[in-house]
Amino acid sequence: MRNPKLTTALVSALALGLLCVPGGAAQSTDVAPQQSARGVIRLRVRPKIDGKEKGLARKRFFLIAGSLEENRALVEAIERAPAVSRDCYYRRIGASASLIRWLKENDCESVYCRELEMADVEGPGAVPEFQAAWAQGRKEFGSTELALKWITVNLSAELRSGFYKKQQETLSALLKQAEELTRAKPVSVMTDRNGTAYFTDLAVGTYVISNLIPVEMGQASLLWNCEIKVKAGELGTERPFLISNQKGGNVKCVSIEKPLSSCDGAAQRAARPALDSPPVGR
Amino acid sequence: MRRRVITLCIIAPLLAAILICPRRSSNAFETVAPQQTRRRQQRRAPVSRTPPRDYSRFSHATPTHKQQSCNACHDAPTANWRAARGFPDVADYPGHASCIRCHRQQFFTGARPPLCAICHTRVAPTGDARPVFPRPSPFRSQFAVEFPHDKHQDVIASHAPPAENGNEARLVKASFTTSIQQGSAPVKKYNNCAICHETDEGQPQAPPGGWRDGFVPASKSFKTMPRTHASCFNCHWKSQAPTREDCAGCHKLSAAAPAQPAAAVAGLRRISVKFTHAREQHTAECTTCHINITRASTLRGLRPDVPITACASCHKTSTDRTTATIETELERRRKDASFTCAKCHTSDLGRKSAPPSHYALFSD
Repeated sequence: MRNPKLTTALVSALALGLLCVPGGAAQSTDVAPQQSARGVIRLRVRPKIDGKEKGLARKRFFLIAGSLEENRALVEAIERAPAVSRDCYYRRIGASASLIRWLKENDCESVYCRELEMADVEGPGAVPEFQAAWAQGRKEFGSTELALKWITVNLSAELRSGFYKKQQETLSALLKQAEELTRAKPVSVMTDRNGTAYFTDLAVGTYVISNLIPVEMGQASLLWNCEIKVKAGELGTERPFLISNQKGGNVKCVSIEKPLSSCDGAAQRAARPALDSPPVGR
Repeated sequence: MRRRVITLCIIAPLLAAILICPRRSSNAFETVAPQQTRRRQQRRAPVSRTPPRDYSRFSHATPTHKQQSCNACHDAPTANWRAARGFPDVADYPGHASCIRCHRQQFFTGARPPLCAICHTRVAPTGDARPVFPRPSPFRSQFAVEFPHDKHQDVIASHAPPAENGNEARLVKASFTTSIQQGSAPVKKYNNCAICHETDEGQPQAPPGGWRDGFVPASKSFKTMPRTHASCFNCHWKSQAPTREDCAGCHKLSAAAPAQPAAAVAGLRRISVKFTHAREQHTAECTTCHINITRASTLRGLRPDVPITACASCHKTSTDRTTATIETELERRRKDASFTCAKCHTSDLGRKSAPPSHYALFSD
């Protein structure tokens, strides 16, 4: 303590500083804070399928800043965007009829959808593409089980993720346009098995909710582009934003429904015996 | 005066020793080949500003190591994959050839070369015992894993609602996957979160300092996280990028995200520690509660990934006023500031001020 005066001055200044810190650590009273300037949207997607309402599971929805009017150019682009149906895609790449049937029966968009079983590679229900990949895997890994578990590593890129990538091309272009138009990155969530999804921590304002890429439902495709307002402090626990393909009491957004496009010439190719030599990976 | 003389006597010989003696330790560990090093040593011999390198510790982050491709050292798969993993994997340390290319000098330094300690448990030229690869806790990984949840959820997404409700509930309860029951045929396993996150049957590991309030979560309270390549290589072994040869596709050197000890990753902090996945009412699909996970393009920034909104659908209020709910606990807190919310939290969090999100549930 060479200079006691200086030390005292420093300590006093420090103490004063600590006392002046806003919202000091000593504050512990539990008073309900002011209403948050953020909000939540609870989305419920429940279209009617064969007259019965069902939750649309595992579909991605996007939230774009601004009103429908402000996003008119984007909405028009979404409606115009080329949509390739699942069946058409797989027919175009020469997938076997068995694989197309497998995807359809399992409600799958890709081969990653579910674990494969022996019945998928052996016996009357076997899929030629899976059989070839399985055989290759057995050679490579020396194990029947591992070859089955890792079957996708021996499928061609087109079969594995081609449909996903095709959709991503369209999606990326639309998202880029949305970002340029609104100067904000659209957020997205996927519905759960009941068709419910949440957009959380949203700034108060008007948004467009859209699935950007039409959802296939039977022989039709469904596309939603609707406006939604987020209010301060809204947590979406009471009132969901109900989406459907038909008008109804609480439905706030109805889809644009279009018949699935025909697969140009793909049916012919699909009927060919090209199925004996399915595309298999490296 | 006498003190100054003593200090000078100590410092002067020390300085002389540093300046006169040739530098013994090599700096080749992270920079150049031995030949170049010798030339550099001759030029720089008189001055040594850097401390000797610790060759017993390996860093992926040195400039020379960063320049190497991963497969310059790591084999994928390693020869021991069948015994070690049961699937093709990087299951062992790189061989001597990977190191000796640049570190011949350190390899043959004395009877106990420090370099050996990187991979071997016994530091001696004859010892070959090694710890498990990769090293178990409390080893600090030098990499952070980048995993885009959103992409993976899109790829495995089902095409349409998979089944009627009655079926789903039972199967979801068993495995957190949705499945289809076709007559008496075996249940089909649809890929979902459960392909990476299974129910952890083991007893949860206590956090540092032990469990709060003596509350020990039961087994099955938590889900597992992938610890090996088993959940990755089944798709990304080859062709599907990032493949086994592109380690950096998933493993990012942790300059941006500081390396975490494996133990810290193992015991991710849960705010509502009293929640258990195993409880019969908590067997919904993962994304029913993890409502932010499907928008996550990385593993970072998911705080919290189960917001109160997800809990509120069941725990906001109750007709039975004796049941603890968010409403009853907040009411008690309003009346008594010292009240500790204990339905979901232990006292370390339960006695803190409730966040605005909790009050917002009742703002309508």
